[in-house]
Amino acid sequence: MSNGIGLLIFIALSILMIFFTVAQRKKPFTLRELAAFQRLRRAIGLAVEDGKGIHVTLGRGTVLSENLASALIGLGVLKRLTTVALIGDHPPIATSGEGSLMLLAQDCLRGTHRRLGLEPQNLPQKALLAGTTPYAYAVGSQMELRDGRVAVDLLIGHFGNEAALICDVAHQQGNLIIAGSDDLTAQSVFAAAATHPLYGEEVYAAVAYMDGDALQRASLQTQDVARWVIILFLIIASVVKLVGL
Amino acid sequence: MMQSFLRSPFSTLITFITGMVVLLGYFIDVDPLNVLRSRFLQWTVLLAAVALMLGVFNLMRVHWKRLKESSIKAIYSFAFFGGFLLALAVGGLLGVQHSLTRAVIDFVIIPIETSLFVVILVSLVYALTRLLQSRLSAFSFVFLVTVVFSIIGSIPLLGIEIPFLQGGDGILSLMTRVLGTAGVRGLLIGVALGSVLTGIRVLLGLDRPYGE
Repeated sequence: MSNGIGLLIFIALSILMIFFTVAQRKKPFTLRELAAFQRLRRAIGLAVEDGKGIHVTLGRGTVLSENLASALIGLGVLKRLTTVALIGDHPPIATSGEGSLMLLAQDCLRGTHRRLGLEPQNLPQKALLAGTTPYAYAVGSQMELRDGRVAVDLLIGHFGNEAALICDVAHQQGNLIIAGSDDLTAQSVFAAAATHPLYGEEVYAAVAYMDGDALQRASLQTQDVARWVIILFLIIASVVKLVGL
Repeated sequence: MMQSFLRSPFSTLITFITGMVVLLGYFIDVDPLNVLRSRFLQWTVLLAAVALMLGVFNLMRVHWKRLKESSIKAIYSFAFFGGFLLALAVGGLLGVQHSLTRAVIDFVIIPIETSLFVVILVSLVYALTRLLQSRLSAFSFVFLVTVVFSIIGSIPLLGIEIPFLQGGDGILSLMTRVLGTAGVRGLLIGVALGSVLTGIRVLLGLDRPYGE
């Protein structure tokens, strides 16, 4: 029974997203402003002008778990950032805590370079596995920040409390820190340590805010509709329980 | 050009087929589908292990280059190779159950990780003070109050229970059970929806966050 409901939810969300994508192509809707992404757009421009880099920390999401979704968002952000940053000839540095994520990040950088007719330089140093355990990963990522060549730090992916170590060094370097994760511990760390923390589903909106792609916007719209359905369901279920039906 | 044209739809097709088999195998209990699903998952485990090895080789390559460049980061690379060779020699040659390997874990790795945990604690306290200095708002005030209440709630105050504050029906318990749980559920619903929709986009080949 529950498996059937799961499949039904999957089909309903897929249809809804495709429907909204078509609708978005005809008439795009306006996204509410999120300070983090307004600031990010400005900071990328300034970093490109100053010849400074952008560091994307992709976290430790593995291909074998559900936490890869937030890392895929990180990869989507990396792809868009690379396109912009290559104008200033400073492709972003991507660090990950998982081998498959590193390969995807390298593929992402390579693909974006080729799309722009460029040959990637020093790819192993631009997308690297910083460490295989949480603390090793945090310390390895810190090393990429210590030489002052980075102006913006984006932490998007699956993290734990070790993210505090990365944020701390990024703050010491005076970097702008925009951070979001699927993990609640990491979200609470970011609430204190990041310049602009992203809470809950905000992290999944990152790509939609970076480009006006209809699919990404439609995905947000589907998310909103699904959230309202859940809210209504919770209210009705609470009332039913309260009344004693 | 031709190569990239062929590569993208081909890899998207593989993603779609394998993803659909795994997903449908999860929802529909049919034997051939289940067998195929578990076979795909086994391959994924193997590929993840190979990817980890490639990641370690990549890390060694990066550190080797830094050592050769004799940059300011070379000292870290030197430490990396020292630690790597030690772990390889002790763990690889003697095995993980050997007393020397256990000693390396107990007296080197665990103390280092514990000290990093303490560094996290200090950096979080520092981050909290920074938050109050630079982003003083209603949010930071609520955040501070929650932190203080949580600390009071988790530390026994000389064995004395403060009435209305601690205990099963106290304010702290109410905050954790009602407000805390509600907040966590709200955030998790958002995360779950975001994860599901990201998965659907990638699975249907509509979004390809990697590659060209």
